[in-house]
Amino acid sequence: MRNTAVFSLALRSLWARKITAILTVISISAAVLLFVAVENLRQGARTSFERTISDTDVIVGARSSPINLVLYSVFQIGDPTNNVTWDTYEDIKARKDVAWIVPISLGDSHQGFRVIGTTATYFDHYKYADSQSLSLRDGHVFANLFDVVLGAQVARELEYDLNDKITLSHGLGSTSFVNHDNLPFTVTGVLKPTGTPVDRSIFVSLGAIEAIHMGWQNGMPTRMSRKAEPDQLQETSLTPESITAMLVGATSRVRSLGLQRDLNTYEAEPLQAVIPGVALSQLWNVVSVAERALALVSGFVIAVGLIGILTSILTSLNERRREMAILRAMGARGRHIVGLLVSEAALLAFMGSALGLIILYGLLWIFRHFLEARFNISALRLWPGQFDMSVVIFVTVTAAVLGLIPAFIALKRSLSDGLTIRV
Amino acid sequence: MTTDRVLNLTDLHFGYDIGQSLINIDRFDIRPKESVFLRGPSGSGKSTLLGLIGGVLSPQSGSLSICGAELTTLSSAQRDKMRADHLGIIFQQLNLLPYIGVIQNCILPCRFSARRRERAIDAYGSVTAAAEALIRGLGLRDAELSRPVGDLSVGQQQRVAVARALIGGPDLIIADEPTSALDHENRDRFIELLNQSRERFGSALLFVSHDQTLASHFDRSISLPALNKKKSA
Repeated sequence: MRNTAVFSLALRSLWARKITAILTVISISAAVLLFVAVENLRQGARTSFERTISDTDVIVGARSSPINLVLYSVFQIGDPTNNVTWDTYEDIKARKDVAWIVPISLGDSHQGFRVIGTTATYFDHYKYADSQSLSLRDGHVFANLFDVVLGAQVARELEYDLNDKITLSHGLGSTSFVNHDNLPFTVTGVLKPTGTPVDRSIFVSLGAIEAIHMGWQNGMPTRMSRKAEPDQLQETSLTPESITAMLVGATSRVRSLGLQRDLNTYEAEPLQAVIPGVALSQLWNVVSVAERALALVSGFVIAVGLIGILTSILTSLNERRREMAILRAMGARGRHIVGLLVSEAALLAFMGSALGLIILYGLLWIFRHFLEARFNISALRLWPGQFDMSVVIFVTVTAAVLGLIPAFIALKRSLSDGLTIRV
Repeated sequence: MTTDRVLNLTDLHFGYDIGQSLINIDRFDIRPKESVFLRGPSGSGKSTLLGLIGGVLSPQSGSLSICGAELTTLSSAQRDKMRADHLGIIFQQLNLLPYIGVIQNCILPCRFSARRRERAIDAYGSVTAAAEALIRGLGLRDAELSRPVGDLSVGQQQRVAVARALIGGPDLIIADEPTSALDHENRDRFIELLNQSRERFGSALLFVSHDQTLASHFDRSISLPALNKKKSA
């Protein structure tokens, strides 16, 4: 008569078989958890990837591949191939369509964290996410030659504070045999966390990079350079001969294309200019193959979970023959029997997927700080979104449709059984 | 003339396969409030006949009416409704759903039949009150009402099944070997109780059993093998 009556019977019948029901719910919840977690991490990774750099119109470096240039200049992955001369830098800076330009010089590190030699303008022009600027948690940007500004993660992991002394190492590895230990730096500023590779960077002035390598030849220190003292160096005028890359802002968005073309055909030396957004999406296409494979696998896990629901209901049908006969005798119609089994399947799927979401978002909430610090993913969703809801709906509806199979088997059987109880 | 019959069969034929005839009954009827004993040993087509009367099976030919409504012209959903509205059914044993309580079991027919729900409410105020009154009238104590059905004795379970068959005052009670799990003494008591209560509600009774010794409890006794002129097994 009323389908709510059948629904409450489905609930009670399910409760009577609670061990199987709970196991089925758990298997569905694990499947949904995995699927949604993969999707969430994927989205989070992608978002934080795309949030890495904004407002920079062109990244310029020596000619290699666009992806390589973005990787070393923004993500601090891989090694720069070649340098760009200071004259070129000055030349580009003087162009009319260039609004600002920030030089970057790489090649040194501190305990595995990369050192970026730049100017104080970096902190004004480097933007991430939606045009967000870097801001300092403590102290100020470098004013003196041997001042250093730390990214949030560097300060946290190495437990550095303002006025601590650090020495830089030559090369990008975490262990280096060549240290600049005669020239210690002082921490003058610590940046706020951004969820970008900036958190793992150490910033010094271009002059400092020049200073610690003064007198070096062929990338190795000489007797002369070993004797350099901070005081002596302060006065020397330190203009680098070359830099690694530069971030360029055009005077208008439209001009950035012309700027990129001009720089790619720059005559004095071979340059490469890339538009960050384009390079990022190329890069993401490479990464996303693995990510799609993962999504596919977790999709199959959901399919397995749904088949598990079907199996558990089908196996229960034999022991429930009597139940069906009693219901039929009491006046239950065919659609009540169908409704009973379909709502049971839907109920198992709904409870399973809801439980999966609760567990997932519970865990994400509990471990959110750890995840942000460890994987540098700041864009994780901590609340279920539209996607998660549609997964729940999809799983529930699919289970209901699959529930039609045992439902029609039971219906057919209840017709042939008549009003006599077998078994 | 047939409309005053609770159940009326004429020239009823049924067989699962063509040429086979499990049921072939010329004439069988039950008047209102009448109690009929149908002796049916196994293999006599008892289950098939009950399936036909309940509207779960559909005859090949002939006429079958319940309270004047011809089942053969109804759709299967309409026959289900007829069963829900007019028939109270008691099985051999283990009549009750184990996962719902005594009262919930008792009001099951009211979930599927608006007619019986309304009649139960008219008589007792609510379906729950109707169930409680009926079960108490059949001699179960209050403490037993809240126990899981599996904890009740077979006799107690059968009495709950009687209360369930009676709720909402159906026109015909069909009891299929309801006493087979009871001992001799309990069996006679059970039949008396069943007869008394269904008389109070004005329901007719079709009591099916293989045990001829029970026939004396009923208004009329019929032997299914004599009634059913089936041709082949």
